[in-house]
Amino acid sequence: MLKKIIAAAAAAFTAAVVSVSACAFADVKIIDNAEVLTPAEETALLEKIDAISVKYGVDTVIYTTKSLGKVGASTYEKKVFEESGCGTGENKDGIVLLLVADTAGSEGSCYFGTHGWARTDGITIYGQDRITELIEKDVADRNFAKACDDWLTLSGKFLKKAQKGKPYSEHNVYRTGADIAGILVLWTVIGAVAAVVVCLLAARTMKKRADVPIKTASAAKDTFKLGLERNVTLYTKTVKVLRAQAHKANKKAEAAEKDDNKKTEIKDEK
Amino acid sequence: MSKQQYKCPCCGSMIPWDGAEQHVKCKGCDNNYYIVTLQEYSEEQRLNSSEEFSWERIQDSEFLEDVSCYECVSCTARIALKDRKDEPPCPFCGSKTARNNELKLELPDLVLPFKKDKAAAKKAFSGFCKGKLLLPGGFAAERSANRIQPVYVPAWVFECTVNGKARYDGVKEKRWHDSVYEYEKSDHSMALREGSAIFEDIRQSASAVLDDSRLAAVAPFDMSEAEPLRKDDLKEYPAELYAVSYRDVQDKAAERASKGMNALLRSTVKGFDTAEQEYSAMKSSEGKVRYALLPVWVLTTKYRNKTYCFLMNGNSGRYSGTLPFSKAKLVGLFFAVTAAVGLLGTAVTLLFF
Repeated sequence: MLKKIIAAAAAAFTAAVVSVSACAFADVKIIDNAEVLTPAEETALLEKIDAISVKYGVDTVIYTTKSLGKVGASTYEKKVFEESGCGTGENKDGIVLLLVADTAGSEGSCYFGTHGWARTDGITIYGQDRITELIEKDVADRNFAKACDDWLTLSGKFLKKAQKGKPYSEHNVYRTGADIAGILVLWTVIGAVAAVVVCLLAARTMKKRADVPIKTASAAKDTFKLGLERNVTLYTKTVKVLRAQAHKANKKAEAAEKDDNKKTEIKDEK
Repeated sequence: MSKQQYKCPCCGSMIPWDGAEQHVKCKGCDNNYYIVTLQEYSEEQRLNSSEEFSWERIQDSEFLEDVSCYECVSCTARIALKDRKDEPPCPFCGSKTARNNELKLELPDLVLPFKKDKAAAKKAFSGFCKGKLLLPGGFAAERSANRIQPVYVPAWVFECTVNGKARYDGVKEKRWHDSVYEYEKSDHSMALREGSAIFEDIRQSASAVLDDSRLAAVAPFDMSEAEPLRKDDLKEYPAELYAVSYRDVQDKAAERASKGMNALLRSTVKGFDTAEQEYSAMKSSEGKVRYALLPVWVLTTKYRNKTYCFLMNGNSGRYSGTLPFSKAKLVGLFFAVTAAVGLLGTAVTLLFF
């Protein structure tokens, strides 16, 4: 009897914890269970979250936790999203950033979940991977506020592009300022090389036949007469050289023979 | 029988010969030789390379009395012109000239006439300047073209028959290997060549201003069209007096003829992997030298204290020259191309990739 009562109480408690957390999602967009964000940071992030939610019609949630337990990040995030009642509209459109504080920097410590329209047309799997790649360093450095801020900014950009009908994808890659600068630098270097070639060619055209060597004199046509043409065979010389591999093998054999001779000498002395 | 000794061509050891056998063997390298071959080889080794060239003028020197001579005050070129009342400008540098009554123009043996007039020369120069991105803005091509001047450039034209002999060490090589050794076999032969050829039109510049390489740049001059000096030849076009006599340049002519003959003989040595010349003897016969006047259009311009020369063959129209270039334009071109390629490439990459 007592055991039954304890089990029932434990189940009720668990349900209560989960349900409290779940109810909180509908209205609370930042759930900082790992306590990695300050109130001021949360306030700033909330403003951005609201802007995205209103503008693009997707529920936007940031969820931090100390650890995932034995569950994978993807499963954890899905469960959180489904059980929380997050997501707007029929397709439950929403995006979730899951940060795991204790394993920050390692794989799975930063997970970006997309749902409904955000998954199919908005950010897509390409966007998930790309945005995660761009914020990973901040997460690894435990700069969680910046990571969340960048995540929101990038998500907004991706959703905006998708709304315009040209979502970022493998065929329309998202490039950061640094990426564009890198491409510009590369093409500038190529341009400089091309410019050197063009300048050299242009400088060359400023001279025409300016440095002509003096040729040897040519005989008048059909005046060369060969009076004597003789080849006298003199001698043949043949040289043979030991090949490199054979040379090495020979040296080894010689060294082995020397050792044998030494041993024999020592034996004789004894 | 007295013993003779011959040096082995392969290893240099002395091979004794008692005068009876036809074959001998070298104990140093085990090569067998016909004694005739050793004798011939020995004879050849005694010969020293030599060159004997001589030339003579076609006709005796004769000086023209009815031609006035002038000397440039700047580049010291000396020119001759007929029926001119005032001092003409120097055709090479445009400076003033001063009359010099002590100078006399020698009667040339040959004069190659001008076939290209001033209009053709100006057109050639304008064409040369056209499209040159780096030409300085201050360089007025049209104005410069007007200053192009004709001049007969003096040259000594040598001709001779060359009889040449040469000997080469012809080597055929073969390489192979087995599992232990690498082998290299070389068959040596003595390649003997003798021949003759006629060399005409070996031109050496006698000008104080335009040297051999400058004249070579606008060559060839077709001497088959050359004629003796006509009465009116020096009225329109001045002639430069020669600055060097043929004796000063005959060695250069001999060297060119000798090299030409060597090249001809070498071209007949075939069938060897290498053939190094060991000996050559060149001798000329019927060597003649003529004093010729060659037609050239000359334009010398100065830009930023540097002199730039444009020459055009007055007979064939072939030209050569250098133009000044603007460093500012060069730098501008560099940056323009860099920027264009950089921006265009970036745009294409961002749009399509």
